[in-house]
Amino acid sequence: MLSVADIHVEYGRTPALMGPSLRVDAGEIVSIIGRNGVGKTTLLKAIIGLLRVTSGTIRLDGEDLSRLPAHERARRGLGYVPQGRMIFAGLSVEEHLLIGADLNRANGRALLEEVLEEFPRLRERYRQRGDTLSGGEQQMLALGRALVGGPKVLLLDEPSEGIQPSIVQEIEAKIASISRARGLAIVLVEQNIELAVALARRIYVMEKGRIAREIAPEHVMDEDIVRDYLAV
Amino acid sequence: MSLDTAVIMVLEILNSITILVLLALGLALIFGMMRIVNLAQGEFFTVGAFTVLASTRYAHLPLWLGMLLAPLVVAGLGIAIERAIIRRLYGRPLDVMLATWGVSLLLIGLITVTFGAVTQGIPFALGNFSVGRYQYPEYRIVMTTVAAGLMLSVYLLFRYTAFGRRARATIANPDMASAAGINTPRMFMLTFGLGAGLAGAAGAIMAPIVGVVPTMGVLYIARAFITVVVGGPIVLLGTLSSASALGLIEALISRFPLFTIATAGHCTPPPCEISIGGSAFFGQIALLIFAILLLRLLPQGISGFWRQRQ
Repeated sequence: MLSVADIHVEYGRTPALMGPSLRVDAGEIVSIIGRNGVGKTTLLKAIIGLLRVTSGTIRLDGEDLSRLPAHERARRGLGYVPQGRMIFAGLSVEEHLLIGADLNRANGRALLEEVLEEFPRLRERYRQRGDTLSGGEQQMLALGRALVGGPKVLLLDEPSEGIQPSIVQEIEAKIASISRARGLAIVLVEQNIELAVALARRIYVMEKGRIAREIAPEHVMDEDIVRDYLAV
Repeated sequence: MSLDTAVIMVLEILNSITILVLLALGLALIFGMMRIVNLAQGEFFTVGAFTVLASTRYAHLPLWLGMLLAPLVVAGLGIAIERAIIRRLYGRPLDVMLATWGVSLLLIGLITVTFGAVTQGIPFALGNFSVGRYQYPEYRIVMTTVAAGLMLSVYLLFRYTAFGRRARATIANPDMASAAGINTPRMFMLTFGLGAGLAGAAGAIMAPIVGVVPTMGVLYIARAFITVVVGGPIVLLGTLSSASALGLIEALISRFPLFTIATAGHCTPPPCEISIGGSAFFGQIALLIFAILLLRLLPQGISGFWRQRQ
């Protein structure tokens, strides 16, 4: 489905990504873990197109997206749920979801209804301004905004950040069921290792702008992994 | 004050507010939503007026058609300028100012070469209506109606359409908007075109009551900027409240002499004195002083003050 090969990104003249590669298949969830500042968020931004890659390819169903602007990548099936959620100030819940639904002329409205079934809280808050919602509700809104576009691949950056544990569980359950039900591929960047392990089939460990290891979830807490890649 | 005087006074205040709203609306949109200072906005106004002049005098079209044409012509011009110049300069506010200043000089030059540096009038057929002992121009009522209609249209456009939704999302967070599938360069282009078109509409509507001359934009741009800055960050309500406050002061001081100052020398007829207030000249001075005072008290403008209070 999505395959990223050897991409390079620079901030000014400082290299930020030095050739990470990954792939994710339909219905599969992969997690990216690693210490702060190793380039996890940068990697997602490069995939969606908010950062320019200087070399490498980003293929979705075989088509190289790496030279396209972000909105074209979104239209081809990448959904992005950023760190900090990035709710549009002043726009209502309804308007956020309609912006997502605009991406999918054929069945955006049907998907919108589906999202409101999945997240009843968004229906309760439908006319309310998105920036007045609680953290958990904003996370649901950010997820909903991406899902109503009917993406093939969802890029999720720290969905558990700053959210109370009960809501994290709720969101976790939704992510798993949505991926199963729709065959949606998900790339999950997560500091919360438990969440990453609970959801992912495979885990990529990042270190200094590269993918250092690919491991199975049950090996995340192995001594050498923790020591080399996770311990502060 | 008798009733007819009071009615005329209210109409004059309304007229001052109308002119400020017309001048400031397009600029407020471009400045408020795109955070760029467009120094060519005055020339968009001028091009609007000249579109009316050209279409009535040379193409012999009816006045109303020329006035409908003007915002379209200027919106097209704005879009061309955004694509050719401003697009390359986003995130560099000083460069945008310099470039649009250049555009402004270029447009003045081109219009002067084409139409000559003379002031031309546009005749129109509306007359006056009477209020008690006074006569008042009907056209001013048309202007106020059009200004209100433009404000309402802009509100409805941004509030209730897909374009408005996308534009507000783009302004709130351009990166997230593009990641959500919005073609953000296109939104900036259309917003700039809309702001230009509104200036063109203002120029067209005001063309029959002012002299149409290539440098006319320069006369109005300062008042437009003052209104926008005093209005603050909320585009429509800010502009409306600032135009109301400034227009009220301007109309009152234009109307009423405040006091007189004795001057030296021989006068015919005596006594030697200058009346302060009671003319359009002092109205504009009062507007400027009032704007400076307001900005000392409310540095974020009127709508910025509302936001702080929330």
